[in-house]
Amino acid sequence: MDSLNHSEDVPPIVLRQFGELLSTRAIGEDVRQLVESIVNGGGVARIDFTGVDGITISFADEVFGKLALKWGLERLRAAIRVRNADDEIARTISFAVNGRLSAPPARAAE
Amino acid sequence: MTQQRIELKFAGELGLWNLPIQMAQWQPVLRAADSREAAAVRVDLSRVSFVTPTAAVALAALLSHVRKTRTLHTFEIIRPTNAEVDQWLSRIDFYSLIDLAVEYPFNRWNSDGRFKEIVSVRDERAAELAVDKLYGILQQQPNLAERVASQVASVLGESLANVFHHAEAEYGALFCAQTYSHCNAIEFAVGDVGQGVARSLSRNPAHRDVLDDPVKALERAMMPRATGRPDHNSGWGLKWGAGAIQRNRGEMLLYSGQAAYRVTSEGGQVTSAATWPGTLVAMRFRTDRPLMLNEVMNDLDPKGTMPGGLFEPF
Repeated sequence: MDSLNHSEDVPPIVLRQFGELLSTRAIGEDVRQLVESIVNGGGVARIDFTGVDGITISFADEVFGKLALKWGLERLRAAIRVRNADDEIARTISFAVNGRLSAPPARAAE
Repeated sequence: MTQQRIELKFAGELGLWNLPIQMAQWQPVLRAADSREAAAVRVDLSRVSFVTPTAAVALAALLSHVRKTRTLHTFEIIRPTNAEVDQWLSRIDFYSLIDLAVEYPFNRWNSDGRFKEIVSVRDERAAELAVDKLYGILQQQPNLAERVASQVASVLGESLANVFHHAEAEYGALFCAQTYSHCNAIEFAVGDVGQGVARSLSRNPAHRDVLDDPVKALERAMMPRATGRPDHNSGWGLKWGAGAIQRNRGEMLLYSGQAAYRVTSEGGQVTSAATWPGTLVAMRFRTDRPLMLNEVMNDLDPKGTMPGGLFEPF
């Protein structure tokens, strides 16, 4: 993770462009793909919540929960910076991340 | 083939609170549809005195479903004699949705700030528009508690998400909302005639046991992380919404198959009920009380902490 580019050269992902309320997994998938393209290129994804009034658990899970599951918490911390998220949005993100990381494997019951 | 005649007579108030009772009348129609028996159905609304979005969505979804999927039924709708109820049904596009030609005796009202007409929500883009519309309506309400507008709209977003990720409903879902400023409340309903909760959950081997037990299926659906698709979905949405309802002192109805789960500030209770052929979620929130979503999440995830290093100071 030391190789990640922490410079401000990579433009932030301004979520307001997707709406004041980010409610669907479809939007979440678009954002996750943007994040992955930045991180796979060696950058740090700065996600800016300025102007976003609320998010759903589905959106948070689609972006942060699924990336946490794919990368693990340490890589997620190194690869992403969340900006201007108020307490409730931040809590929803942490809820989604913790939910994915503490969930039993999906196929455990088979 | 003989055609049976079925008459449904509705009277009084049709709302979220008595939907299972309303559904009891529909059972002969659903049985006839399932067996493809010819039936002439008369739906008498003449003595109805009040209708909320929950009942309107239920009526429209059932009428649309039976008319679209079964060709052997003929329908007759007797409109309410109460002019206010009849006009409200016109304004929310109930009659046009069921293909009943009704001439508007008034200018088309602008619904901004008060209600959202019944719309068919067939994809996630339509769901985003519905959430945005509800958010706009809520922002115009008097006595609005802090964050209630975004919180209620977010809970709606979770309810609509279930349609696309779990219901497998051929025609999507119907959605309608109405504010009640005199009592600081809003009610919305999302109804589909898809596969229902039990069948959806049982796709996950961990929940296969609920397939033939509709009561157990709804109990399971209201548990944390209950989902038929654990690889794709988190299974928190309904529990999150129910927790918000309890703190807000609102009311929620999750209705699917032969069971109904009702949530109030006192908690949740599931009962056997007349069949709903799919899933219907209805919620009534007070707009003057917060939903306290942070508390809901703290209860569900008591050890949860912010992943350090992820957030920059706000």
